[in-house]
Amino acid sequence: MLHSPQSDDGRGLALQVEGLRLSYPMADGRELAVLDIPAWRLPAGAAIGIAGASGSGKTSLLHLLAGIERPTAGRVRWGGTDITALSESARDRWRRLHVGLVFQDFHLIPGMSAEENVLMPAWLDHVRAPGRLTARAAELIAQVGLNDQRRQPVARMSRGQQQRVALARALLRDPAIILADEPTASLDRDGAGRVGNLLLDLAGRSGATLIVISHDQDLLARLPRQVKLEAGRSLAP
Amino acid sequence: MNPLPLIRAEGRSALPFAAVFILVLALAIALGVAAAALERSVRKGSAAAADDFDLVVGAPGSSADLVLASVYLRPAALPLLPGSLLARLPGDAGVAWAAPIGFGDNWRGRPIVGTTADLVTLGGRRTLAEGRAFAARTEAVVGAKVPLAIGATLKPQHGAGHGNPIIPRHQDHDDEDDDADHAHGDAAYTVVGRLPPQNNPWDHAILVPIEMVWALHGLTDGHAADDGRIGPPFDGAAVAGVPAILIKPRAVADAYGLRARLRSEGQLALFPAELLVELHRLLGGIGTLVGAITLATQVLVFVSVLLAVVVALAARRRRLALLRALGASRGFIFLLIWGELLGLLGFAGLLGLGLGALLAWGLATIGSASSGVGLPVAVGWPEILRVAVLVALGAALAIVPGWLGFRRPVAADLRG
Repeated sequence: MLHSPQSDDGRGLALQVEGLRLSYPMADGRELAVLDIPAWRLPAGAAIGIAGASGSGKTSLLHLLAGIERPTAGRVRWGGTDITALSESARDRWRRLHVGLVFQDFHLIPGMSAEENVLMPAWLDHVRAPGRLTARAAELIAQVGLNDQRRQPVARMSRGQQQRVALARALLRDPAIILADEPTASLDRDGAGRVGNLLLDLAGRSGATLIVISHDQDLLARLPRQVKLEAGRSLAP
Repeated sequence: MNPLPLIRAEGRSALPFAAVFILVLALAIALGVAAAALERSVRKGSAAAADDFDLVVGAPGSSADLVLASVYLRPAALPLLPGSLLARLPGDAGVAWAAPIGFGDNWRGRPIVGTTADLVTLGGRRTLAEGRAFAARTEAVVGAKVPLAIGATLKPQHGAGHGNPIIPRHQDHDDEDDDADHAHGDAAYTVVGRLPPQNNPWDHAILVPIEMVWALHGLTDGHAADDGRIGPPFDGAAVAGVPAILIKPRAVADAYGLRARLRSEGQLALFPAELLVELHRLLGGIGTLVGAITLATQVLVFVSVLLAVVVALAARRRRLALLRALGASRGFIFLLIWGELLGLLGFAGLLGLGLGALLAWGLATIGSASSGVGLPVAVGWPEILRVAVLVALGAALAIVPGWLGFRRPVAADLRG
């Protein structure tokens, strides 16, 4: 069954994957198959956790879903857009506008304050951050509990605080899709719990479609759906 | 798009790295700036020092020695011109004035130059900074930097001065020890005037009537009657000889006519400017060579820095890939890398101009102190243009790392 391309509040986007394959050529001329997903669908606004052993293809799947990488074959449709058919620059633009990414290692810009890091995506297509994005950054910083540290250089923050900054950065443009790759893996138990709460809470409030790749069973357990990726070949519930 | 906040952040987080790059580039730029500015200042300074020397006459010998001794008061052993020439020249139709230049004495290392009042006032054209031209044999006019006040007296010592031994060849004084400074008995001059600053060795000279110099050296004083008068006309038979005569011709045609005539008489007559043109041509050639070497050095330094940046890019590839993952276009990545390099080059260019000016000023000060020739150092448009060309060249070279960043595969770099 096909789900509607958008959620009721118009924020999330539905996902439709068809015949998705990713393989890399090897030195001996053969192909190394990394992913092979015949079909997979998610309704707009869904929240799902993807588990799987190391090397099962989780990160490759995330890259394909974000349009960071092109598949060897198959289609990835978000709403009405087949992102595999877009040019690289069109995928950059699409990703900028629709996807919020959270990484295991945060990947913040070390010479910037928390506030500047949250605003950073605005400078990808604006000379000055527009007022609405500045206001949204302030709101998100408050929501992740870093109001007092907003001007602090991120290099002087704890890992938990850094991941909260990265979370706020991912949500700056109110993306229709949030993709998180091991968002709690490099945090201690308390930090992981707090970041997990914030991720689910903020994504739920925004109505975005949320896909979380994780080994963190506590986090996965709190998502309404979980699937397991095994050797890149199936998304079994 | 606006990569500036990221460039600033990168500069902040990699400050020591950026500072070393800027310093290395700035030093390379500074060397080029200093070399160019110094070459120009030597050219200007040496030309300015010869401004008042239209036509110089000496006995046959080295033209370089004649110019060095008469214009720059540098050590040279000059043969003597016959006295008849000094007697004849002031009355020549094409000559506005002609003044002898004689050496031999010093006061505390400063050369005492025997001449006539015409050289002091440049034939009435030059106003003295203080006082008046000498009017008696015991009067002197000092250069701007001679530490003697009007009314002060000075005792000449034999020898042309420490570090400035301009020693004329006195045929009748061969037995005298020219190196040993000693006073001429009770002979003394009274300072009656001071020359305006000229930024050349004449600022340190003491000008006295040449008759007194001759007399102190036991020579005939240039005048038949022993009446103590000074200045032209001279009696040729009463002049033992003179190392050089400076001539101010009435017109350009006279200058060439006089030079030709004097040369036909077997004398050495030359326009110092002419010798300087030859010197500057040589200097220009050396300047071009030095310029080419410094440019090549600068390009090598630029290329080394760019290579280091390319290596550093490899270390930053995950951060750049992250920007792409967040939606940065390839153009943004190119602008970011290129902008960072342009920032480094820009800072290095400005710092290099400043350091170059400082270096040129320092070297010119040392050169000026040792030669007495004022070296007017100014970093001007030629140097600014030179640095701008270098920065533009660097900006063009920086396209390479920018392009490499542009082409990086995002997914592979994200995995590290």
